[in-house]
Amino acid sequence: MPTEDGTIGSVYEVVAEHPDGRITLRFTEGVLAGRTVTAFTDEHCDIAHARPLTPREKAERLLVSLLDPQQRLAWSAKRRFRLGTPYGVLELGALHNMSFWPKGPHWDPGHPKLLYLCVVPRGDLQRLPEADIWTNLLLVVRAEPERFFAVANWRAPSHTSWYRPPIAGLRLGQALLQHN
Amino acid sequence: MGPEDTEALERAAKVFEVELGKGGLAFSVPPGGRDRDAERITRFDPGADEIVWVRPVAGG
Repeated sequence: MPTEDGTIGSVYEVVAEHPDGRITLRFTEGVLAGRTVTAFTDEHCDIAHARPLTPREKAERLLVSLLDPQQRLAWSAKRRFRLGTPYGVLELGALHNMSFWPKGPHWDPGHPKLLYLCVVPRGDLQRLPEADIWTNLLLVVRAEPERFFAVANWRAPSHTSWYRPPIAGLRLGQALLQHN
Repeated sequence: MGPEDTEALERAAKVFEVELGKGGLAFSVPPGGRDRDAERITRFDPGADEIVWVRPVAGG
């Protein structure tokens, strides 16, 4: 039947409420008059939507909560983000191949402009959500940069072979002192 | 704080010690905190809003 605003309205009655949260409605007036419908209520749908997060979703949420707006944007767009450290700028997001722009005398041709680092959380990485890996590395490099860079395997972009630490030219203790 | 809360805190403190013994690194993260606000903790902090455990790192 037409309502005041000119739309077609329906009148129904609830004929059953089911244990699983569904209800059965019977339409008594309007275009659906005579028909019976069984469906979940909006409230039930909201509850269903608020399901427990998967480990992957939890990991993503935690990582994003730790990032600043610029890092969030970068993570969302490229799945990578950069952060400043006492030793230079580090980009997290490429496992086994993190870009690192070391601080230092850039006028010196011998000073590396860009290095690739490889640092990973210890243990099995297969079952670790990707975002958890970056949260792990982010927190360690932020809290204990010396520890992070002291274990980093590294290589120059022009080389395919990796070198063991220490990173050439990186003076860990001194840089940390200057930063603090 | 009721007896149930005390019990829960004691359980959490034990879990903390176990995880620490396994070599985990604990960080206390304040509500809405960024990575810069995360503080490394080596003792269970019952007042921490959230404690995040991470693994030690190694060269890959």
